Amino acid sequence: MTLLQVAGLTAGYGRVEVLHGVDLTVAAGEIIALVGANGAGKTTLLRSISGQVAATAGRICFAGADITGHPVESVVRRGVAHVPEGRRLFAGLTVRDNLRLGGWATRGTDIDRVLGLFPPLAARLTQVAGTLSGGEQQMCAIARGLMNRPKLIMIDELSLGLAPVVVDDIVRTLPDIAATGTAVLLVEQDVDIALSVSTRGYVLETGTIAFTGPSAQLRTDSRIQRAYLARPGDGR
Amino acid sequence: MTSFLQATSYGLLQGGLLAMIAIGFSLVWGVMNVINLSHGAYVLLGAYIAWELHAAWGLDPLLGAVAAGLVMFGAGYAVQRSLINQVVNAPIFLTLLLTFGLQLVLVQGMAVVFSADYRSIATWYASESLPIGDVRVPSGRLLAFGVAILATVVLVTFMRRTRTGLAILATGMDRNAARLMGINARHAYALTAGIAAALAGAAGALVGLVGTFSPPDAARFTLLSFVISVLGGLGNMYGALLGGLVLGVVQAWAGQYLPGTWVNAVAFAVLVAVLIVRPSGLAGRAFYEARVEAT
Repeated sequence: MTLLQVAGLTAGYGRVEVLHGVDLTVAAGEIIALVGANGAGKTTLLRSISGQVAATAGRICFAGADITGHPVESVVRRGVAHVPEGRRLFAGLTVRDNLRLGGWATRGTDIDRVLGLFPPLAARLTQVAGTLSGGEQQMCAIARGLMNRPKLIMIDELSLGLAPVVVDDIVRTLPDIAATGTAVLLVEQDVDIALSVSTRGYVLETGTIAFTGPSAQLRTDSRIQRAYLARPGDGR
Repeated sequence: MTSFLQATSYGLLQGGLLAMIAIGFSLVWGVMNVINLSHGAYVLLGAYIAWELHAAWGLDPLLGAVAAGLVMFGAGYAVQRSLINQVVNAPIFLTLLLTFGLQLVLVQGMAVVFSADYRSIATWYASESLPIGDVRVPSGRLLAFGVAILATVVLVTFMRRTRTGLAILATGMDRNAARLMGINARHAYALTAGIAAALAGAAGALVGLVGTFSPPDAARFTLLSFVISVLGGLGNMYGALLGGLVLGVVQAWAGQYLPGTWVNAVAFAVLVAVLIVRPSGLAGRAFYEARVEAT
């Protein structure tokens, strides 16, 4: 069942058009990778879906309703969680308060459920979020996004500034999240990780989808290997 | 020695009332980055509401404070939602200009409607004084102080413990992230402004209980709120309480031992001294240092 359908989406900031007709679908419970170079428009696409950037053309449908042009709050209430780039935790509040705020839209208070996905947070509940390590901050940000029991969680630059071993830990929880019925749309600069955890992938290049397909297939595509995976010996 | 204790106790009581006025000003500044120059006029509006209720039905100003708080909550909410929200993300000069204009309109309006005569709300108990040791404490001021401290503690508890309070703090820290939680930022801002106006209005009723007031006092209350907010540490609610008490005591000492014209000069000297020694205010770390400017 199609959960999210983006069709012919054109969007940007002021006169600068960043996305030029993007098509993308996410089915319920799927993990989708959205990869591409800096400035390709990955973050703008997520911001358009969550209602922070206005679409100038095209449609965004979510769970059977047209949400094009809806304000952020209403998109969130419909079941979209957006974990923004740089985490954007409420740094002066405790982890517990951050999680409570995560459940604002649905009055979700089931903190134990999200702690089950990220056990290291359990010992940090009374700690001020700004003092967490980078990995714990990312866990807290994702956990905060899950408090509303969203149908879709969009994670922007999961690995940004984190040690590889920490990234692996967090990425390993994505299938668990998907198994609870929450689809994951993962924006990631580390193409290898993104394609290894996802079922399907989209490659965004300067505002248009350049490649799409099953992740396993994308990983073996020689053009993608040359441009994004840079395996030694490839592309000579 | 007795005169020193008398001045100190008077200063503490006055300081509690000033803190109740300033805490809303500090909250609005911290959450929205808006310096509300019409805050002092809200105090006066509250005083006139309580005065009218007392004149018409003999309503006690302590109950009048509740009524003034409720009315001013509505007024503060409406002004924010309809007016200040339009410019809340604009450069700070626009919000200063808008709230300064609002202050002028309100002060002139009150002078037209109520005249510029000094008024006070007379009660049988306000001038009764309780002897505590060698010091005589006017019971009206003691009551006003108690109400002011209670209101401050209730506000801080509300902000830190309730869903709505947390949403307001979160919106103040990072407006966009708060919206991603599903929080309606415009509503959160309007609630903040309503709470600040309610506290100012209720404090205004207490001002009328313990002394006299007239429309031009609005500017003085705004100025003192500014000093107390910076003194305590911007956006720090307990800091505003501490700042209010310190300012009240310093002003009382200055009034006792120095020529009357020095009172404000001393208050600002204390502010400058505190900012030199502790730039983030008396209560230390400003609560909103982690704020992300709205984009």
